[in-house]
Amino acid sequence: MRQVLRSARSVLAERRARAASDTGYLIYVSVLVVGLVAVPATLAIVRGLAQPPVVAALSSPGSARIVGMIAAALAAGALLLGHTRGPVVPSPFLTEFLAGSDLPRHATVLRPFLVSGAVLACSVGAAVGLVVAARLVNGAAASVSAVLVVLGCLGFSGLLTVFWLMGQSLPRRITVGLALVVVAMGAATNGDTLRFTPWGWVALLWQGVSTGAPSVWWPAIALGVSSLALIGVPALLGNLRADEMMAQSRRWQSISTLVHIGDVAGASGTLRDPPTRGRRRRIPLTGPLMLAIVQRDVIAAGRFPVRITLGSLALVGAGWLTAVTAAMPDGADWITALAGVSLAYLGVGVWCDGLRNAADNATPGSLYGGSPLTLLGAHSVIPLLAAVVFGSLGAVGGAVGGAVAWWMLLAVFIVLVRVLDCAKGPMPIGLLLPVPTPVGDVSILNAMAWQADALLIVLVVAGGLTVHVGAAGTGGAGLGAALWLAVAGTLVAALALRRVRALRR
Amino acid sequence: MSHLEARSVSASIDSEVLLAPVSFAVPAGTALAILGANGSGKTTLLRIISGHLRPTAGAALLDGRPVDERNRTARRAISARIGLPAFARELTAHEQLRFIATTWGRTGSTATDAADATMQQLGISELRNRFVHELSSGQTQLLSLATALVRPFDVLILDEPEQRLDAHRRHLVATAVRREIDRGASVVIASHNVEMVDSIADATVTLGHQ
Repeated sequence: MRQVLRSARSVLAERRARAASDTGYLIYVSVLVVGLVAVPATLAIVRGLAQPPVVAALSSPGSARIVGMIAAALAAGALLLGHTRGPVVPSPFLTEFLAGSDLPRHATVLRPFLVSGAVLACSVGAAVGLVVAARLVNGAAASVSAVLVVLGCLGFSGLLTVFWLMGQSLPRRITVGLALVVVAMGAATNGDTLRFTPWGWVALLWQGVSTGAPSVWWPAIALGVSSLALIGVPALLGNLRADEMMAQSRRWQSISTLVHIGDVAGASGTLRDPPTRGRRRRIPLTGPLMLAIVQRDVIAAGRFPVRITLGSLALVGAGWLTAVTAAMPDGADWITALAGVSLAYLGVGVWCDGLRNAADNATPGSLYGGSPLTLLGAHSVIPLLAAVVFGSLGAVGGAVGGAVAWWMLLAVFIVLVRVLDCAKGPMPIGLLLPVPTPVGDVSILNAMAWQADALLIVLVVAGGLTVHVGAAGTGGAGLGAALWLAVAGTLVAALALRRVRALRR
Repeated sequence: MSHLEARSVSASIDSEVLLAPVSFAVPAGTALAILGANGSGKTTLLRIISGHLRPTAGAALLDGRPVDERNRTARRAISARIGLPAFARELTAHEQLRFIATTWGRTGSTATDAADATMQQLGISELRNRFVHELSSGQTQLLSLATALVRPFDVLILDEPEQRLDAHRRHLVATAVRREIDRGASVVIASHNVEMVDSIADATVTLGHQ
């Protein structure tokens, strides 16, 4: 069996063999990326995390429980993620001809699984390492507890990898049920119960770092031992279905192609699962066109219950985050404001299927009879209502004066930006022309800025003004921020109009 | 009903000829089939007469006026299906058709009736509750054709409607198109299928190989 595998892989390896010049270029680019992007970004994150308010929050007595809840959420997330993107996603070719061969699947797809596991372990290790480094920068002494928490988290990443594979290998109903159990256990974890779950062990290790309590070894050992769950990996790999693996392989190949050519919107569309339920729920389509479209969007949204629920919860969270920004200390208010508006942008997105389809049909040869502007306007109603209603719920929960009024303005602005994003069309080819600089071709920056323009507008305008409103309160300065938001909204609307007209050409 | 005409229309990019000059007229209640080998310019011609592409020379006219899809009257008069449309993945097949009919002014039960009738004509009534991703390639082709038939029009333009269809489905499509011709619509199809051309077209134009 090994001989067969080795021979098969050697055929591919010959095809993929790199010339010396390619290898040299790869090393050159890697050094540039590390030197110009990774190191500065790491330093910026560490310095940001080393701010006194952040360190105080990380060292608070309640932080261990939050760490435990985050760990449980990660475990549940891994279980759910496996259905969309599991750890075993070889190329469609390998899926067809290697995973589809008579060789045992635990051998043919072990390599992609190990690569995914290694990437996950590195990511977890890097995240924990950054937090620990921030504490050291802030003046905390290096301790055994800090080493233990890093080691423990690496052990936990092994468990996460198994959960991730379970999400891909086991039936959806089982993994969703397990995820719910994990979330419930994570939410209920407190005090003495921390010692009974892996996420509780992570929390106990963090307790040693945050409170300076004596180092406890056993949770780190327990997490290391729990990695023995990897023993179950061959059985889980053997249980993978070829069709589902191929669907994921094809989907991710499409996504990588779309991202490569700069079509991020198309790539994110590939990630959205098609509907499978609610087909017999009738859309009335009665009354004027505007009303018919609202009916269509509401009932169609019900066909994606998980997405819509998560998007609506994101909007509630976004409303809450923007509301509490006013109460945050300097330095931390940026974090809540930017997280809030980003979450709002993403949350509104799940309500925008109708808007996206209207934009797709704003081109010549549209299926629809109404004018593109009428259709886009009508399809914006539901995203706006969702943003206003769910976000206001969160803003009310934030309980800061004027927060709801500010949120409503933000909601209008963010929906306008969504319209702008939907009407984007293909990337102008001019953005891909080489831009030679001493550090190489930076045309990719143009392309990235174009791809992320909507999110950048939201972060800069909505995020920046939210911080300003939080700092200034609801008086005259708050009114000024509202006026600036109105001006920005008008500009975004004008730009969206221009894009829609361009689509018609 | 409308009268469609092409007067020496041609298309080229730099010195590359995509479509050699061609002329024809399609009076109301008649059908024209565009024939020709791959690369002869059939789809280019359909894009020109549907107003989606400006000819390099000559003119495509609808009732004596140049065809331009930016013109609302032209959009209302011409229903063209060239390639697959941008379906809404969150709607069932029947809802797609009802929604399209609604946007063209057929509201309420009229839209439902139009969707029902179109699906029945094309033999896809049993697919009414399927989402688009649940259709086979042939079924997707039929739904695609249905999107062109469910809305009001005076001129119907179809690019290779026989694609991915078996003989029975091709017959259903031909019958549905013939019904529109009998109603008074002008029809232009590009096709490689002799049976379909014979059963639909009153005249043919064969484009030369480039």
